[in-house]
Amino acid sequence: MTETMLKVENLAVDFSTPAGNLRAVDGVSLELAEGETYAIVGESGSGKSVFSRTLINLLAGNGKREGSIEIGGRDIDTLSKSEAKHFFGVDVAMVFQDPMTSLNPVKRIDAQLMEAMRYHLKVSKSEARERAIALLKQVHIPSPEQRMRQYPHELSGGMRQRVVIAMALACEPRLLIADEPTTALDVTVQKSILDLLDELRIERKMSMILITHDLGVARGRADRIGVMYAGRLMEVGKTDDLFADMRHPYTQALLQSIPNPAKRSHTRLQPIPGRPPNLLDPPQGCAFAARCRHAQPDCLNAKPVLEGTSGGSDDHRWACFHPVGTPDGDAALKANLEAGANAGGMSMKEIVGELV
Amino acid sequence: MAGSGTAHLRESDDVLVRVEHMVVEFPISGGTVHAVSDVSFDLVEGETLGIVGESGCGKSTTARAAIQLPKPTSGSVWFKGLDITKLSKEQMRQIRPEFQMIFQDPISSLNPRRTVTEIISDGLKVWGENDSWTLDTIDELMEAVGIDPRYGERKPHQFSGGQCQRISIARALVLDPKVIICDEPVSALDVSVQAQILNLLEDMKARYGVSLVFISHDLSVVKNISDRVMVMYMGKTCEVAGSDDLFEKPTHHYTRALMAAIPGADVVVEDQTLEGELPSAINPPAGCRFNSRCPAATDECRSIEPQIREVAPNHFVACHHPVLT
Amino acid sequence: MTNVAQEIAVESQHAAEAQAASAPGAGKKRNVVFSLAVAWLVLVVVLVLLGWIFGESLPFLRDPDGINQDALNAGPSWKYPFGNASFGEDVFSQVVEGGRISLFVGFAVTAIGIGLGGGMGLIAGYYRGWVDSLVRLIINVTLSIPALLLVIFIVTIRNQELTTVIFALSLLAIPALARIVRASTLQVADREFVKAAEVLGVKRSKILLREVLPNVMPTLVSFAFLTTGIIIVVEGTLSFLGLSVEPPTLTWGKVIAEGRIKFADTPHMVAMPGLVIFLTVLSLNFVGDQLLKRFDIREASL
Repeated sequence: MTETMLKVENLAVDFSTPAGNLRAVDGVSLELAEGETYAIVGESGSGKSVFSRTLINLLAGNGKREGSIEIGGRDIDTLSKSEAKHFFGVDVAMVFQDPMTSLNPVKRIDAQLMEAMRYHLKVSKSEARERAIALLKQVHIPSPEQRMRQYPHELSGGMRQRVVIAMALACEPRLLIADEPTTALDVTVQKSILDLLDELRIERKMSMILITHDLGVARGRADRIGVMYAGRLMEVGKTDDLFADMRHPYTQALLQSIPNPAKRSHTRLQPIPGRPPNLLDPPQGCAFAARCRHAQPDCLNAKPVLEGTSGGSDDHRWACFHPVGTPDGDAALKANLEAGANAGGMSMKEIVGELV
Repeated sequence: MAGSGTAHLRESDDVLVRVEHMVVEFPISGGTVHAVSDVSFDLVEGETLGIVGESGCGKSTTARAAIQLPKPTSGSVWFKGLDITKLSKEQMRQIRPEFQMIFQDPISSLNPRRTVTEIISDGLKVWGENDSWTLDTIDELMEAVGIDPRYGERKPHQFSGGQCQRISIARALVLDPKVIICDEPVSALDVSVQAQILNLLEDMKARYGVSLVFISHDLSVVKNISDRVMVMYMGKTCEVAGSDDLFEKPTHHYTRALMAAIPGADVVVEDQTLEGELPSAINPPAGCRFNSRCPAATDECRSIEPQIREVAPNHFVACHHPVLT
Repeated sequence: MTNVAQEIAVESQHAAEAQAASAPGAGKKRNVVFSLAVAWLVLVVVLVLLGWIFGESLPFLRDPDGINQDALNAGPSWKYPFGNASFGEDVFSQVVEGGRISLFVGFAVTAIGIGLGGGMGLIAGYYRGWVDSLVRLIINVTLSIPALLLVIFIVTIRNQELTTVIFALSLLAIPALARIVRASTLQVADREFVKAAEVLGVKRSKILLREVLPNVMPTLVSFAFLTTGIIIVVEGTLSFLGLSVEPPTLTWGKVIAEGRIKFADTPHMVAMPGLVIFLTVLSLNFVGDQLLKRFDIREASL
């Protein structure tokens, strides 16, 4: 059994806004083993970014966290101020979506890379320089000695993201949080960056939280996946289990809404009707019920919790009263199709194509 | 790839737009950006042409130059027997209603200070009512694109990204155009909303008989919506084929690299990662422009530019060493 | 409207955070100050206008040149809230009369600056090309001449008339406003809705007026307030130096200049009109600033 790198228990994040309290993350629990990649998949507003920022203590001033976060066996609430300074950014580091926001446009690459090392690791200037060159080599930046003297704007988007990754790795983190690290990049560059992250993770036995909106990216890169919607985990499981045996109607709907290149052109897509709930006035029941093909009256009244099936793998759990692929779920879908609407009144007429 | 030629242009009567040898260059301090270099394509009535490629490949510039926004540096664009590159500004304005456009950024493409009804009916105010739409039937159009007409007096910021894109589609449709250029129309949207917009575009195409030029960096999206696909790299055409055909038998090495990069998908190509950086568009490589990154490049590729040729029925590629299976 | 809340809340929690960060209490405080600033400006303008129309027939106004032997150099009192000058003249009445020129110059120059400068900036920023090059040249040349010297030069070689003063100060305002409006126009013209109008076949001139101008307007209006403030200060400086409109016409700067000569006897002649200028310019700046912010927030919620 490998060591647990990250343990999140019942994490909730509330923001007080002028319009009222907004619960962006609601009761998220997960465990991540050393060397593992955990992908959090969700659309905008699902709370996945707030979740990732909370892990690295970057919560905005009006945010309030509940629940515990343990990183490398250490509860982050027990860190003293001075410990925290050399914990976040060192033991746990983050890569953001837009490399330009992480890079200072008026400073050369070497200065930016060395700064963190000298501050956190207290190494000499020459040692920091050597390490910086080694890091740039590791992230496959050709001729690093020359690149180091350049400014961020002189690099391509892919190169910049490599530099940002090098910066995140500078202090040898054990946990890397990558928040949509490739969303701003071209597909071929995305592939090379994801390859790089994989390679580094294996080399350094690093754990990784990969935040993405793209189920495809998660499928190709993660050991485990958590699908997030309106601040809650809807379905979690090992990647293979989850794709082989999708249980939550939201996970299924999300997958079906993406054009599949293996299907013929003009194949009708299956959008998810409606829009996410207003988190300032969250629904009483399941957050997805209003848009769910399976939704029954009970879905509107109570929030389902993450559960597995008896006899099934413990790792694969879903929060649904009428899950996909169960007799009960099938019956719910059939009833809704016959009624022409789900329990929340959503029309079923947009539901086309095979529903498997 | 870096290929030119016109072998892929069709001779049938229903060709609506035919772009030949189009070149777009921008002078900048220190040289000239070769954004589009000798690209030809055509569009038949009722067809969706997908143009796919990564940032900087000139896909958007190609489509915009075809409708003279801005005028291409050279080349001709034939529409209804006219070379529209030869038209004066006013003559071009007169045929603008035939070519409409939907932009990537749903919010930036709507004037924040006007109401939705104003935005949608703008075309009619400029050109007068047409056979399909009048000021009285704007509500019907709004319903057709899935916007509740009761919200007509609202301003764009009161709508979500997907709804804004629906408004853009309505604005384009109101002039009863022949061609709509969709420039990355779903790239800024969440996947579930993306599917709504793609379906809507398919419906509108069928219902109002427009042809689409659909530009995207996302191969899966392009495959889903297109009849024919053109793959571009650095201002050149790599491969042109029917959508399904292209995905079943990609022959150009760049097309294959793009397909291999689709995350988490089952594709027919071997796993590969494109090495190296995009060369400078000010000083593009000689020969095939893809030669610096192509796994199959030879000396021939470094000196001679490949011409577009037919490698299978209706499947065209500009490559000296295509992958033929 | 729940949709709007939803947009803000769900689709961009970070925006919501940012809004909340500026705390509701602070927002209210700013609203109070904004109202106070507007109230002050209205009060000043109304007083000056009333003084202009009704003059001394108003109970609180006197002949600004009227000698009053009983109150030579007297400080502020209930009867004479701004005190009296060396011959007992009522400083309050002087300030009210002086406001005519000071405010008129401020508003007139701003109007000219917006009309000409704004127009130039709008055309240059939208049409680009040689028009833009020309406008930029004009802007850069005029802005590189030391402003106050230029104004002093013009006023000196020509007679000190109201029109001359306005003309000279307009030379300051036009290029400054042209530059701001040009920058704003460039930004707006780049947005896709302007391209969309072109695709619809809307005429360029119409696009400029219907798509671009309304979106440049907020910047224009806000900067108009700031400009008025600056011009009032500059006009005050000119008057103080004796370079504005010729005596006996009063302006705020001139009242201060007179007070300065006998500063030991009549410090209130400097303090009171100085305070009026200070509060007026401060209010103008604040209102301009707040308008800019308010329009910005509307955009941000997009």
